[in-house]
Amino acid sequence: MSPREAGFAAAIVAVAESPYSRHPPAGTTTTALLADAFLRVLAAAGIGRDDVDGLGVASFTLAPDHAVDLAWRLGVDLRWAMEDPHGGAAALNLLTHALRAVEAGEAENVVLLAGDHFGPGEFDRLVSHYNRATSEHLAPIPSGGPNAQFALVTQRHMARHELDRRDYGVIPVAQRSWAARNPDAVYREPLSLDDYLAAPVVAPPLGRYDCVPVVSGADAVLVARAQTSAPGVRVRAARSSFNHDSQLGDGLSTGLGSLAADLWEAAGFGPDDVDVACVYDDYPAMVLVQLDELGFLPGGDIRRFLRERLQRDRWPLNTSGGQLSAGQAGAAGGMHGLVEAVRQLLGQAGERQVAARRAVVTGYGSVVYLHGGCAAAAALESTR
Amino acid sequence: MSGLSLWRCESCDRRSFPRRELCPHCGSRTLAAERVERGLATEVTRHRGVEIACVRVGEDVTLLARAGPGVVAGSEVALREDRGAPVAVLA
Repeated sequence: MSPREAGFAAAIVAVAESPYSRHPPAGTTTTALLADAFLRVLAAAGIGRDDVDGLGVASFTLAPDHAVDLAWRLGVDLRWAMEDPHGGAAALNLLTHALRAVEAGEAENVVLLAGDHFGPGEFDRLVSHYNRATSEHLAPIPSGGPNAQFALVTQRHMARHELDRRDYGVIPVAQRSWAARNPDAVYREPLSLDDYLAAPVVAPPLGRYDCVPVVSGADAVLVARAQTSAPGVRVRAARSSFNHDSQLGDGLSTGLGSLAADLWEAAGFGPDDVDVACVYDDYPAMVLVQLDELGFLPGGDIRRFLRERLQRDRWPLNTSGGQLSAGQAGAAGGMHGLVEAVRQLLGQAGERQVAARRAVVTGYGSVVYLHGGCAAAAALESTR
Repeated sequence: MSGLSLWRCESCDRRSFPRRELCPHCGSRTLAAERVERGLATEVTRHRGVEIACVRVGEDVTLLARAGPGVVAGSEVALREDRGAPVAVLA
């Protein structure tokens, strides 16, 4: 095997999630949630606090604190630290950097944390002042956050591919049936297509079940040198994209399209070899866009994919229930799918376990003006 | 005041909005404000009681605007600005 095909020598050795909550108890803080995820991932890996020498964090609500402040709160002495602010792509960006850091010998055990707790009004403040373009030109509309932008993108996607709401509904309905087997998902009750269609409108054509429920929570990933003696997950390839279209495109691409061929070549496997896919599910249309860009929709036949692969064959897409059912804990949104894919590959997915050796994970986000400006993808393989 | 300020690149003559530091098309730094009066609503949605339109101006600019009554996908709209927010009303 050539070095290129071997992927990273570092591995993901443990993952954890601090349970998501729609209505967290009074006194909940972002730092406490991150600390909980930190302790859980140490316990899962069987290492101590003093073994940690690298820390990466993604959080919208950690400010004014930074990674070093979090290190101080956790009492860890670090040789390596970083933050990534790029929303849904942050976790995979952190992962790529952490793998390289471990391989370069800059750190031995890097914990990556992502999570948020939004207090009253904090979520609205975040989405109104997400960046300068938003503060200056969207907040005064007021466009009220990403639902409006992705309603417009979804209308365009619908028209382009001649889809209707029943088509998009297949995704949240399928993911909800996975969520029923995930005790940590915030929404687990069965969801029918009729329930989906009858749900309150958020921004036409988006209804309630097209949009992620905002929750409080945190996720954690431990990156360390791969041990031949212990099970782990190798990242065969990871790629990121920033500002792929300068916001001049129609939003029906994320940047994954231009990195897909390189990702699969470096991974040494392709879409047909993937046993579980965790695709960033902020909105169903964007799941379809990403799947198409990565080569999961042969011939671009979306309806066939929805009816046959998802509905009939129950293809393992977002087996935690995804953010649409498990919840979106702010910047943890991009780590949630990574945690789920690793759980599947390590055989730790409980009732929803599928036979999985290879997985793909994506991240998408950082709405710059009209649509997301960042995307990332990782191809994972179990060493079990 | 009617119209909305876009940014015309003095090098490649194409426009952009919101203002970048360098022209997204050619990389030039010389961008000059230019008022435009008209656009085409391509999609319209409604979020929390606010009508929001995606508006195309010529071939080079797509922007989001608060939409006035009756604006639907395909409407020709007149553009103006309200404290930074583009506003699109039926032309």
